[in-house]
Amino acid sequence: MADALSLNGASGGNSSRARFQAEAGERGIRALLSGAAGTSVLCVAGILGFLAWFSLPLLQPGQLAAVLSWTWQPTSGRFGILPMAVGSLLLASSAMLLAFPLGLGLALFVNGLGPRVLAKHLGALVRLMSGVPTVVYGLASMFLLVPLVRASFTGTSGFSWLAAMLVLALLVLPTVTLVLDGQLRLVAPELRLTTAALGLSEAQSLVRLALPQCGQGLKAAAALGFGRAIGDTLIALMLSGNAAQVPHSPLDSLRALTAHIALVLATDSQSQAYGSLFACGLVLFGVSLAVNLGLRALRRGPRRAALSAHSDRPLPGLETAATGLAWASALLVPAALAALLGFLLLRGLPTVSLALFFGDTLPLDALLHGAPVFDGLWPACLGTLWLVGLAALFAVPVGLAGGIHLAEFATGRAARLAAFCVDLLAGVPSILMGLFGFALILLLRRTFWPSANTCLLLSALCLALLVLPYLVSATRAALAGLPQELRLTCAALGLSRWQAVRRVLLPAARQGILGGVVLALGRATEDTAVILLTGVVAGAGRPGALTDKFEALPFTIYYLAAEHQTPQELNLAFGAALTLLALTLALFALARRLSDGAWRPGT
Amino acid sequence: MTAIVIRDLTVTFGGRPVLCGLNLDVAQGGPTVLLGRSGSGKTTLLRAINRLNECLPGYETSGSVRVRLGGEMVDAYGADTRPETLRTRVGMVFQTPNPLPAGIAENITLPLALAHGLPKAEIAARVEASFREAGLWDEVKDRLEAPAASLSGGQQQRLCLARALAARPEVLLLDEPTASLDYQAAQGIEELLLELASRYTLLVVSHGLNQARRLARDVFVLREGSALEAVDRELLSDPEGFSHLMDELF
Repeated sequence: MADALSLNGASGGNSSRARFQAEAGERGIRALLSGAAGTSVLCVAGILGFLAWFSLPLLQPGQLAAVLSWTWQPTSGRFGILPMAVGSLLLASSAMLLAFPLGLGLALFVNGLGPRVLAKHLGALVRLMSGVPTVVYGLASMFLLVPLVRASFTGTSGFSWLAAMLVLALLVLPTVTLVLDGQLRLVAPELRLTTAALGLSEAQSLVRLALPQCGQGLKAAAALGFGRAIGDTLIALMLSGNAAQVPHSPLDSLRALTAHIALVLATDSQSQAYGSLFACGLVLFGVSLAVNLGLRALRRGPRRAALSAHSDRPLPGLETAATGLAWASALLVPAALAALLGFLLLRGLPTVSLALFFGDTLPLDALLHGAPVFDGLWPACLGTLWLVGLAALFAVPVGLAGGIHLAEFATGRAARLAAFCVDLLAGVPSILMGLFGFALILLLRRTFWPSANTCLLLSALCLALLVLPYLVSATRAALAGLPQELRLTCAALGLSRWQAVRRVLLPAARQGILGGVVLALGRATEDTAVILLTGVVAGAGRPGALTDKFEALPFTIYYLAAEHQTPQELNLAFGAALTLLALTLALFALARRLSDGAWRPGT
Repeated sequence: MTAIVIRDLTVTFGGRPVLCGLNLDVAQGGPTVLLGRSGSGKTTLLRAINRLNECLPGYETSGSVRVRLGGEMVDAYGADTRPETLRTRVGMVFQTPNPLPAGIAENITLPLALAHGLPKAEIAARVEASFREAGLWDEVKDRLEAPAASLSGGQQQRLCLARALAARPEVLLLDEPTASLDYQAAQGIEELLLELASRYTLLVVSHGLNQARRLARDVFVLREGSALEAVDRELLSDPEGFSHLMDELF
């Protein structure tokens, strides 16, 4: 009787030893998981530490004033970064000023102001837009929009605030739209039947009731969009003209902080310039920190702001205005996208052939015997493949483990800190990851490895850092999305926490996690800013060793767009852009399919 | 006099038929109570009258629904009938309380301002009148600005009723209006409905025979396959017939 009731079972010592081992194993696993979550904290601390350490020389007398000045003339020792700070601010705010109403219009259109048939396709289009690589937008705009601006206005080269602003708006539009759409989706359907039964039109329901409920969503969309806009490197670098000055009109050239970092490091200026670059990095880090803190404050605030008394002064015509905005956005955005991507197809499609990838080398020789390829994209494709593979090798295990820890085991202050750092890391401009890698090399050179240089391994590490937060968040969200009853059921059946996670929760969340992994791969494939600072070069050939320089598709596009000597080289850039676009769109579509098929309660 | 005439009504969702060739005459006043197993399409039938099914995806309908509005029979699906206008004249109370995410009074003023376009003075007058009609005035008169969600379930349901009454509809559709309420709150609503039947045409979906017995002037049972059968009121008060119907229905 006593045996039957004993929790340890009848066979005494043997089974209790097994139990002890199992418990020790579980403790070990949980320590590993929490270590993975701690990695993101370390990464944020590392980035901030490096930035601060390398900007320390600025604290010497006179240095700070020199950096906070309006003139950038490194040859005469003047390292003022204020024009770039103002440039970044102007560019990002103006892009948001354009993207926000358009995003709002699109979100309203898909949530009921537009016909359902069109809404579905428009929603798909917006999600597709988030898969278009920045460098592809940059290339298409350089040869379509910039000449258009040059032709339409006198006294401008076309490379201007205006051109960069327009394309940047297009780039951040999916972020803004998807946040707003997500918020409207939470409240609008729930209201639809009620308001319809009261005789309100769909437009009235959306504009007067659903939208005022999304106050926090509107602010979150603005903050996220702004963070994305100010953190972008490639659009500013390729389209804004990069003159280190404060622009007087939208047709003037400007230089953003991100582009400034890329330009100065790429031209390998003397080391005094570095100090000011790290100051730029600190400013950018500060902006993403502010955006992040703002978002957290929004989330903590009262969930639903009290409604102002709409009925006291029902602004007439609000519905008409909203419908007008929705239709204008629904026409303008697809038109702009079609123009850019259509232009890309027009220029890129004729170049697609085996010669695009292998030049004059026989494809079989290149594939099987490693014959060198000139005038072809093959080395860049290989480089990208290696890069993304290595980055995934570093980031996926850490990201998944960190996500599991945050979703299932983490509690208290440490958990909040880790979650905050993951969010912050996700918002840090990618160029800062590159700067971090560059600083790492500087540090190694000064200490115990004087010959350290930027290379494939470093790029992969920094890219891993870039996609780590995506992996953590996706894993965490997929697990957190499972119903609480599932955990209770597992506990009631006597499973330990880790057993429940491994045998029940992880398999149930599999698709969502896989979707996150694929999305992270897509993000790693398209990024240019990180590798720009950490070892990518043109004409490196196929990657030999981890410590070699390498080629990559996005950089090839950027490099050829700026430095092409012959029309053939430019064609190569368009071919590369088309290849990269196809690759990332396929990855994004796959990620979406996976997330859509994710297990949900009741299915 | 009939208030609602439904002929050959067929409703499908995503190709799956919910109602097939249904015919129904609802007399003015009432209450007329509609009984049926869950899934027999009672709610869909109710929503066919104020065209609310149109707000749901994959919906298709055929047949005719005519409603007596302003003394005339109006084709609910006619080309010159705006669904919004129809819904302001045919009010509805849902199974679960569905206050708008706004203040208590605003729940009533907002639709009056937006859907009816009434002037402020008229709206203010209707707020108090409809709260009194729904027996809610004393409970809410000091907290009209408070969020509607702060009311109890029974109060919320009466708020929804007041909101429907404020529109001065001619027909009121009630979809199991007491399903989510406790016994006392349900009783309050039932008493209210009996009182309202002298001024409005009431069509009430219910799943309770006892409620039907207390409320109904006319009772219909909706069976699978959209067969609609009028039930003699005497059958409801006869214990044997009652239990027979009970077995058959539930």
